[in-house]
Amino acid sequence: MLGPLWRSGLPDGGMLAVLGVGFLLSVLAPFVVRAAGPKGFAWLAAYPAGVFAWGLAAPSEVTAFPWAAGVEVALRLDGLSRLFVLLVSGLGALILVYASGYFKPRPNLGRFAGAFIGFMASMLGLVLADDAILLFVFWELTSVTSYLLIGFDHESPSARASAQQAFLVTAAGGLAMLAGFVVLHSETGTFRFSEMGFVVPEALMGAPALLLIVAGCATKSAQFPFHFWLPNAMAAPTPVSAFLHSATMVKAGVYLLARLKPTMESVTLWSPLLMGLGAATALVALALLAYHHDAKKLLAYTTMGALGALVFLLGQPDRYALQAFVALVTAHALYKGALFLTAGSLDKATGTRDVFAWSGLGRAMPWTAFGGALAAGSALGLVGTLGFIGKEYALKVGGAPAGWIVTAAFALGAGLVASRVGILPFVGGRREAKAIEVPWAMWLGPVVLGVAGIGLALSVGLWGAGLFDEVGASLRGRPVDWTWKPFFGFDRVFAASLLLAGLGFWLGWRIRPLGSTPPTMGLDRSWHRAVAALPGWAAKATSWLAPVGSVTGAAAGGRLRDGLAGLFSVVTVVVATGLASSGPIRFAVPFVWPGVFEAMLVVLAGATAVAVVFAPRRVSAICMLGIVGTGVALIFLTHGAPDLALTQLLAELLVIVIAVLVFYRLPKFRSLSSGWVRVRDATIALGFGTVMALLLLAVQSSPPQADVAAGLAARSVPEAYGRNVVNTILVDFRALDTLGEATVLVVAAIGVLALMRLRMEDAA
Amino acid sequence: MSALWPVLWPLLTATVMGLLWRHPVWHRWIGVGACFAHVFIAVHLMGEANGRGPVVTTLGGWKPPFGIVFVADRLGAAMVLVTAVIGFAIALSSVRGIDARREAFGYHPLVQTLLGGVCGAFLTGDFFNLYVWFEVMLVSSFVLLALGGERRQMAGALHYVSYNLVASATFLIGMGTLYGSIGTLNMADVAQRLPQANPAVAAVVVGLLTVAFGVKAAVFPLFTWLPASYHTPPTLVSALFAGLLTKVGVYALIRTTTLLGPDSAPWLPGVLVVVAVLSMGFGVLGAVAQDDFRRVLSLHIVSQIGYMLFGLALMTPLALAGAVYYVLHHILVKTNLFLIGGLAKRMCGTERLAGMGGLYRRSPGLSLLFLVPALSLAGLPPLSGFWAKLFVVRAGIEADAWAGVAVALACGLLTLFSMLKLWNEAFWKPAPQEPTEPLWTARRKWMAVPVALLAIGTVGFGLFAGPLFAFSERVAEELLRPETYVQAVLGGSK
Repeated sequence: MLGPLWRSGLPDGGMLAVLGVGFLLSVLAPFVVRAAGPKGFAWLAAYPAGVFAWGLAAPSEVTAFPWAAGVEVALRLDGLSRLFVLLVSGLGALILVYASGYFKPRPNLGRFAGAFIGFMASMLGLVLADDAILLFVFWELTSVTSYLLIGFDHESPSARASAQQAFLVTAAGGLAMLAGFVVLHSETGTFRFSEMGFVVPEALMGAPALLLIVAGCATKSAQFPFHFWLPNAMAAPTPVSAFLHSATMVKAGVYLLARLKPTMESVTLWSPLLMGLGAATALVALALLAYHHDAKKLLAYTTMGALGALVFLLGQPDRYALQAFVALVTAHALYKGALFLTAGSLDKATGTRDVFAWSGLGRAMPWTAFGGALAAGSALGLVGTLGFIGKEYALKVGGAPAGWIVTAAFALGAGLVASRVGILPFVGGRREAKAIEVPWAMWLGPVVLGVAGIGLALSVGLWGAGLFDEVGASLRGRPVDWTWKPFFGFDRVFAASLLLAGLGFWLGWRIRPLGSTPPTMGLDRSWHRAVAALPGWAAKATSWLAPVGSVTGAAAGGRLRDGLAGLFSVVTVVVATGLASSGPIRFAVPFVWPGVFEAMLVVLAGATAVAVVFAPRRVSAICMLGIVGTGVALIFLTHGAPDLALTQLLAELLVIVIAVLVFYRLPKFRSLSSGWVRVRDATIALGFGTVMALLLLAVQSSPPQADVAAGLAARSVPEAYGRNVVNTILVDFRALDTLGEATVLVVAAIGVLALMRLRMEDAA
Repeated sequence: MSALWPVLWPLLTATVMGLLWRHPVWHRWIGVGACFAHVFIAVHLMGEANGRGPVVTTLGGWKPPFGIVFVADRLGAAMVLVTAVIGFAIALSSVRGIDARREAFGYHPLVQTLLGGVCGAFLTGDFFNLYVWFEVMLVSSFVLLALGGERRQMAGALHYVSYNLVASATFLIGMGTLYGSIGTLNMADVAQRLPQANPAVAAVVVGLLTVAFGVKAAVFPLFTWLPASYHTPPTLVSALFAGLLTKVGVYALIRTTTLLGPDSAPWLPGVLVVVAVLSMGFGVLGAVAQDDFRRVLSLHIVSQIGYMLFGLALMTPLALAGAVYYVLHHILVKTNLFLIGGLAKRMCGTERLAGMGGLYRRSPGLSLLFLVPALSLAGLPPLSGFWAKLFVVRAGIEADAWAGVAVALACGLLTLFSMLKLWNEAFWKPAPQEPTEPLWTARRKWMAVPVALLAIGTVGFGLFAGPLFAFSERVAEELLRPETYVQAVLGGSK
């Protein structure tokens, strides 16, 4: 019983220290490894080893302080998180030691170490987080670090593709999960797991929240049909596969489901969803196993099968299901980590990962064989191992035959791989003459893990009530008093268990892969096809938006014209809709017959405006435009606005002079638009003009509410000391506008100068 | 303190540089010094606006609505502060990042007038004056865009100036309508009087302003000028534009929507939601289709603007605070990504993704610096982009805007896809041609300094999301009670 040990009272804030040191170390790790070479990994193992010791001794506790917008940095050490802290740190320490023997000195190893430690700290954060959003933060950090680790061999295209695939699949699920957390928050009113209580079965948003969160868990924990990224993730070096993709990260989804079980199992969908998902995953995994002979692929699929079985167990309310879950999570982490490391050592020693190429290596690699065999025993579920205890409880779960089928599928797969990786390579005739034992750093892990799998099983009666019951309390939401024994007597269940172990071993011994192209890997192919097609598809979807789809540049002037036509149409539609929005408008502008002079101006300007459109040459067009402008200026004049008329005239004159000068240098006038484009443009132009006229009439129909203009006129002489109100506005009332416009002029002048004088391409 | 300082200061700086026209090398350090001081001015103004409420400065002593008034409320002051920070980063980069010929034609003073225009737009309390600052911005940015006269620059500048001139004209028509119907241009006064105006005219005014600001903010379907032009000038200019210009449009939309929207245009949020969702979607799809570093980044601006508008359109306190946080975060991140793009371009000799590569192996530092803003843009925690997305998405879920939330999340994934593509192509992939010259020349090291500063800012934005979000919430609170703004400007009088 370890009880007294973790009431020994470490100071508060231990969890913060664990994470803080971890992330700090991930920054320092590159320097350690760069200085010490691969040996540096062994030094770094001191961190997880320390965390392991802390995990054994620290009291259950909660630390929380606010972060942002209701999200708290809330950490909680309870049974469930303690189990995972111990697994993560224990395995982490052994695998770091392993890595010190595994890697040859090479560039980038420092960055690898940084990402590895960063992952470890993130994973610890994930299992310690008591706030859903904080958990999500760590969740995504494990995805990022996993991305960098899978892509370690980043110059190989397949490693890059695998890294990207793993990241995108898990990130997609993660986003759904984030939405699920927010929905859950709206049901429970908190992001804190420990304060959520439970979702009432009739809660409207219970099922959507569950579905969204399960989407996140299913992608992370490689549940069917999101499993396809996991085998590809084996592109990573063995320490990564062993740590992330078998023992820890892929269990994050399972962990979260276990964490949410007390809160969400009341949702009616919980059991059918989890049992269905888990069963499908376990069965598909077993089927896929039959197609591979690459050790890491085989291990990946049994991992998938185990994860399916764990999800399936969580879907059941039965006590034995929970006991089986607790035991299997532990057993699987231990034996799968050991088998992965063993496979890595064999790969290193023989230069191949083909399980059928390994034979008779026991004499040459005794320690590796010892560790591998112990782990295989647990994976097969032989008496006296943790695997046996887990399987036993799984088979005890009452009720449907579905449970038996799933357990059998999982156990057969585990047995097959156990024999193929942990036993058969070391027996029989020797094929590889040169293979020698790997350095101690590489066999230490399998041996320790294998011994632990047996030692912990045999002593489970001593400590099970401490650690495992604490986990049970987390799963149940209340204290439990379960019995833990290494052996349950000779009954039907024992017979079944033994039969499964035998059958599993026989499968591994006898069965050859069915072929090289597994049937359901179509999912993977579709993924790659979709990713490859995405840019083209996106280009098609956006190509109608003027220059966006164009890769060669925005050179085509026609597109600019189309864009401007669109912009003018938008303005026309907006004004027309606005005018029509509150019923028919009443135009209350009194009609006054124009004087003769004014009428002549209107006719002249109007007729010239029409003529501009049909002008044959640029120069005639601009001259006619000048006539229109002058006509408008004169109309201003007849209405008593000499200043305005003068300004307009000056502007017209300047524009004509400059335009004529520029036109002189331009190529010949040509018509580039087709007939219907002209009709379209004419329609837009007429529509725009019409709505502007209507708008003007609408504005003129009622006098302005506030008469600032009159106010300015009244203040002009007494306060601004000027008789011309336009001048006082320009230089006094609104002098800042004038400053701005003066700035515009100066900048424009610089621009003209630069445009005329500066040609970078000429210089080049 | 007068709210005019953040505008006058860069204009003064530009004038000093103009007097020293023949010594462009001096411009560099004058620019750095002035921008550094600008940050302090902005911090000071921010302190006042945050502590004592809106800082109102009437110009020439003319009481509103007769004169022009400058108003630094929390939103305006915060925008000015980020602008000053970006200005400083660009000025620092410009010391060694711009060629001598462009410097000789007034690159540095143009940056200053641009900053002045941007700050003016953030602080003015007068619609016509806003138009003037838009003009200052437009002409400065146009000249910066065209400066150098490369062929593709001219094509880009033509698109840019054409669309933006039409947008300005639209704005001006709106102003004419406004002045003709209610006779005032002071924003607070308008907010007070527009509800009593002819509803059809009020709808037209708000509609025209929305279109004009929508073009400036580059929202769907008015954004096409942006991807046509942003990849053409020197990267420093792109970086400056990418951070600031579209955000002026967003700011103007936030200002008008909160000030005029609730009473005069109840239909506006509905329209904005649709525009926001389409901007997110089409922006990100456009980005996914690109294979040029800067073009990818340019189109993501459109998509990110969609998120900001989504927050604005929901109009709840959380959503609006999210939108404000989003704007502030995005300015830092986007500028930085463009600056990094510029460095990557120099190192690889091209910004076509097919020709890039090998940066991860050869430069771990730059790789790390890229990952920070890139993952932040994609919304990965605990970086600033994550919080920005979380706030907006949470507001969406609480407002039952499920379609918008779904699109926002899907676009988040596509953004990640596109950032990973940049990473894969420019960083992880081996270089097609191994460059012979050293990667880190003294000039590039210098240019990495502002990149590092902005990256630290992004990390800080994420880690200190709490106080920053609390500030955004206070901004939102202020925006949702336009009475306070009106009260601060007009006092008790009508």
